[in-house]
Amino acid sequence: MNNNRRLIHSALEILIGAALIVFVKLTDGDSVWLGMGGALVAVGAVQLFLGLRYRADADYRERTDTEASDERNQFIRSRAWVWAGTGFVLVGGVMTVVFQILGKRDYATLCGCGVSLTVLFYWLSYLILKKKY
Amino acid sequence: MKNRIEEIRRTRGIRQEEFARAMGVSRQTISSLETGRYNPSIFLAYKIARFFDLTIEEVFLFEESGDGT
Repeated sequence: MNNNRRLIHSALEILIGAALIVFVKLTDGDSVWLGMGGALVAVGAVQLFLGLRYRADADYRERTDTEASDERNQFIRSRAWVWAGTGFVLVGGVMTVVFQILGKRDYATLCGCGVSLTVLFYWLSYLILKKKY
Repeated sequence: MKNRIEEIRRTRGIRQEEFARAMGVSRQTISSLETGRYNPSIFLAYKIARFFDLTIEEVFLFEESGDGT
């Protein structure tokens, strides 16, 4: 994503977050939306700060660009996703069994669906990538 | 896969930072390459060999038992 687009995204995140906060305050709505609004404002503010720093600081810009295109970094990122996915499936599988034993059928179903969906996404991705490469 | 990057780089008096900048990668990547923790893509291997004005075989030492990563 180029920096101008990132700045626009950040500003939009802050605006949407602020709008959510104002909406909840005015309507006395669900606190979930308040939390989501706060998170959006915080993430947007950090992104905006980093975007402005990228624009102003040439050293930071070069370092960021190198990190983004660095092949070892890309390799590490994809390996980390592999670990995260594998961990999610393993933990989800165990939790499904544990919840089933404890008689919490709803939780077991939820965990089982999460694991199944992840495996399904894996197979779909595999088929698409197999055609691509 | 073993390589002679550190040896060649030191012989030519090039610092890791300079080499990393010339290759368009981070200094940590050069360090990982030199210690053999990370094997480069064929593209980066070519780039490194070309930078030293050597062939890939002169920089990277192929081992039949290596698993590539």
